[in-house]
Amino acid sequence: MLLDIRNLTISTHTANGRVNVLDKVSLQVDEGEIHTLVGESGSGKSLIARAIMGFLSPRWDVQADRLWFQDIDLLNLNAKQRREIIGVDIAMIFQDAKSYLDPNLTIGEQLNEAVLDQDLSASFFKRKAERKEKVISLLHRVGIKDHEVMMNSYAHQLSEGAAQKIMIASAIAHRPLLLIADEPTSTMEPATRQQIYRLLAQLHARYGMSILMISQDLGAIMQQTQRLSMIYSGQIMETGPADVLLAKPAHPYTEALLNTSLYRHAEMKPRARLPTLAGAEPTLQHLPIGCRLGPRCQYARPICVKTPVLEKHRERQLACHYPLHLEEDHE
Amino acid sequence: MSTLLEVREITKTYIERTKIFKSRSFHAVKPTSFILEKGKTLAIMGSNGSGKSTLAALISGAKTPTSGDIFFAGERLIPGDYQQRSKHIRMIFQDADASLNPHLTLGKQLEEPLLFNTSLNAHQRRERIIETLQQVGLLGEHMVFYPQMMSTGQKQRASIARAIILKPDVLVADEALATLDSSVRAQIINLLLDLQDKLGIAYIFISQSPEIVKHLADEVLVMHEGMIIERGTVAEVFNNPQQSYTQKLLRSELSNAPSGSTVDAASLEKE
Repeated sequence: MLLDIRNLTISTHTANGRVNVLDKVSLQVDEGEIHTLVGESGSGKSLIARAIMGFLSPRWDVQADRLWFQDIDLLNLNAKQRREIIGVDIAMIFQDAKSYLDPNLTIGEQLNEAVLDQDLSASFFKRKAERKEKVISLLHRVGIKDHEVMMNSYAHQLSEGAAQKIMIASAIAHRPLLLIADEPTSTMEPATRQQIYRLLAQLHARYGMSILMISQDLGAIMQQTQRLSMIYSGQIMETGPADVLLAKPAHPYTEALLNTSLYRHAEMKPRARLPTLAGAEPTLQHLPIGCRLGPRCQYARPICVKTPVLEKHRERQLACHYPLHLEEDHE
Repeated sequence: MSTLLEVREITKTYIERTKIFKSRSFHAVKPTSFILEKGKTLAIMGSNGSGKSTLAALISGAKTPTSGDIFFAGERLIPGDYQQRSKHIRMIFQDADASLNPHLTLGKQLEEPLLFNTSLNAHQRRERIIETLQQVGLLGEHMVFYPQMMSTGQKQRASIARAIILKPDVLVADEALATLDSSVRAQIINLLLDLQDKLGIAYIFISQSPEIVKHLADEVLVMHEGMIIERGTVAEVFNNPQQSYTQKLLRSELSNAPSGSTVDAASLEKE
């Protein structure tokens, strides 16, 4: 197990008292696995990534039974110990790649900084040349052939896809074991998205790097995804092998998201009305008691005001009192 | 067959002055003509920088064309005459958060187009606002809400309400569904379809998603480098795309050049 999160609760103070923005989230990522976490905006999926990286401001209260990376407890690290892991063994890429690049430095200069001293073997006088060589090979690895032009460009000259490739290049400079990708493609056009997905899949296949992919659209996840976790309003709804979940969603939320996604309705009549999830995502001030999907769920019954726990059903885990389509599995 | 909107040989050229007597021009939209019929949906597809957003801005009047004319029901639309145009053509944007004014309540924002373009009195304006809010699935009570009090889906509904409050005939939607969550997107798609059935509005839909275009549109224009390279009904274009660019676009596997500088109309205009 590479990353092991058990009962992660993140809370904050609001005018109406303490609110658990994340409510007992458990998530595991194995070595060499592509794990996609799907949730709509405001579901707290980025908070999980930030809690792993330790980016959260002190206003957020982070508690967990376990927040382990291999055998390191990420909750009790001082700044120095954290620096030895973050950016080296765990790397992260973000949604708006261009805004994370320094507008004042050329791409070459920025990638120079990403190559760590400990990765260089040459003597002091040959270091500069070796560093440049490493940067060029990084650029080649993310599929940029014209490295001279790229190294002399500034961030504003790049297209979105190219900027994200630079982010990936600097993230993989030290061969991280885990790459956290927080909606890296959500603002891209579909063609560029496919390109970035292909690149990530290649890196995964070649170096066995694990990827925790965060996505907001079930219809546009990476095809290579092995495990899928669904998060709604700070609660994990269902988690399991991607093909099982997509073929037979057992949680009403997974089913609803699958239904609303146009990508899965190839045979649907044009202009037909789509099945939707009624209502809107609850605000932090008005979180429902129990299962937070309750008020929007068409299968909800009185018992749903009790929070369901994440239980194992064959190869998947789900948190629902009345799961769908599971009867056939128990023949 | 009643022609509602006719775009005739419209162009948009940006001129960038590189030296004192030298300049470089960038043709964002090359001569383009098309016709939109009443109650129909026209989709414009193309990758980034293909000129589709510029074309949308030309139609809605946000930008002035370099040459060419737009006719609405036989009447020429004069660039800069927003009173004439805004009664017929309205626009909704990608980012509902940014397109609503955070300082005004929803009621005030909806009242503004009525104040500028109609001679309704205060009571009639209020009636019209409540009626429009109900059409987009909101309530009259939302009049007193500020944008930040509403969810993303409600904000997009509010911006649709602002667009249809003048009872336009054409609605231009520039990537209006791209950043929405899938459950909200499904709700908005249903709303747009319902409004079209009820009010007979024609849509011009700018989108990069083949799925959305296939579901919503009657006709498709494919743009590439400022030119329309393919046009036809959705069935024709999707089942039998002629150009290799269209085929790639529909497969969503278009590879853009990874290196070098990208020149797009938006960045030129800023300078």
